[in-house]
Amino acid sequence: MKYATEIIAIFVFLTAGAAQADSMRESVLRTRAMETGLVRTEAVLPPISEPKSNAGRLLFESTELSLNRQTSCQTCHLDRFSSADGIPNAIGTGGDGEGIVRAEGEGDIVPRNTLPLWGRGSIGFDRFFWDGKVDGTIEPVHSQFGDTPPSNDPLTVAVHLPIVEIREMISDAREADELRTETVSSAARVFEQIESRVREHDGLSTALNAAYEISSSDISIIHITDAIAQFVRDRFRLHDTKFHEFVFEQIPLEPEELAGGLLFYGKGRCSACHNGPFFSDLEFHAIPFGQAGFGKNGFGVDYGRYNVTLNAEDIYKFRTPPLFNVTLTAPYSHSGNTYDLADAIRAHTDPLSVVSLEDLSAVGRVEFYKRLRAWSSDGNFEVALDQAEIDALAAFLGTLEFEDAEAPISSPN
Amino acid sequence: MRSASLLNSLLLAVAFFGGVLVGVFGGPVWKQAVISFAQEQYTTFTYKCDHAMREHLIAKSVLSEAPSIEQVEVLRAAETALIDCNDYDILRKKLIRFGLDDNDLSEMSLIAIEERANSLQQVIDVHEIRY
Repeated sequence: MKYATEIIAIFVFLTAGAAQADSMRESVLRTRAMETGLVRTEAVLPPISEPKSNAGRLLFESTELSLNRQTSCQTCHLDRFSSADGIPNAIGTGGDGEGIVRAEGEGDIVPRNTLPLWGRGSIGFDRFFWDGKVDGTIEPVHSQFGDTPPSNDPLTVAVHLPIVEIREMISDAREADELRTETVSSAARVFEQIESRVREHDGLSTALNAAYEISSSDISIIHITDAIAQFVRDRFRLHDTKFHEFVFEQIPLEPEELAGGLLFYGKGRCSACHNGPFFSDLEFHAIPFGQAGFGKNGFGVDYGRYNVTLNAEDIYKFRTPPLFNVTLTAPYSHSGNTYDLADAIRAHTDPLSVVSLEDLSAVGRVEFYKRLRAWSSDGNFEVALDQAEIDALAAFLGTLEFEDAEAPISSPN
Repeated sequence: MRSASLLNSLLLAVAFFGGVLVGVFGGPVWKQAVISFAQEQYTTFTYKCDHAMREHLIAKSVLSEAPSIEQVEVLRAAETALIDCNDYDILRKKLIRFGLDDNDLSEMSLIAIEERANSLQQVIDVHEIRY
């Protein structure tokens, strides 16, 4: 008994310091998370109209919204891939199947990685797409519609665009030639056809009539896109994660998750850009990821934000991606060039370790150097991370998952 | 009877010399074992703390020269990163509890900073006063 007491005393003596340090670390992490804008997800949930969301669900799943009736919104935003599509570049019209099967098929390539939809349209989530081509932080909403956006809601404006994007929901074939001008008037012609189809479709028109209290003849593209926006807000709303429970309910993290969190908000400087309620500043930064596929500008080049602003300072910048469910939405980067979350993290601070320059052409190397220049001008990436730290960051990112109660039970291939 | 007594004497002698050996060499051997076991981690923590302190110093000086909201965030991140020095302090405390003294810890620090000194230039890099 005497020895037992002594052993316990020695154990308490040896571990007291570590316990005190853990408590300090937890406190620091909670403070840093709140300082950089983390809030309970209910604080950013927008009001939802259930009838409109129900109508939006039918439209989201319907191939009637693509001219050749091949693709729907759901084609690239699948539950089994946590609202993304699980492949590097999206495959639009002409594609078949899901995941790798679709990537190996003959469909038209949309040269960017499909973004997951979690939190889109939440309060304060006002910039959409990798290049921020729909921007609700400006009035009127900035988009390809110019001075006359179809809505004051940026998510509703964003929903208009895939419908008129060639290769996404319009086939890249001769019959689409007249739409290649990609003007507002050519988009209007597509919208007229879609409106006409929806008015004549029993299921879709009935749902819209009920939701908006209009007759079928009054259904217009704004009802269609607004209903889809309502559905996206509803179906892909955010839920509190393990990290929220840690910050707001004092439920502890695993030691590696805690270490990763401190790196995220400390040495790693991840929170300089991945901050706020969505773990994104919704601003534009250059990360020198390798380019997978042909690229938006062709021949392995995607200038990102520059394509919207034509400002040379924006070349190779992309909007900071939010991080909810990031561990479920591989591949990563604007072109989905890596499935490995650790490599995606490494590309932020040590890009030369994940890009093999010898595989690039001379032009490819020059373009990569441009990406490096854009990246290196941002001091936030001057960080050295070893493998254990990258693993800890990945473990922390795992705490940003939440259970998707509506998703069918299946495992991604 | 006589052989039993001899055996007892022998055991006593072995125990005595064993005790002397442990008394004379046990401390240094124990310390060397602790140093060998902890050196790699100590080197890592020394480097990380040094790095964190320099980053913090730079973040503070940049903020004072060019104040901005972004730079405040950089400084806060650098302050959080100083937790690496807490790891270093905790490890030092543990090593002291395991019997190492200041001299032993100084030796470990020297091993850490001289680890990559394979040339005179690297020795100069470590010891040169820079300002």
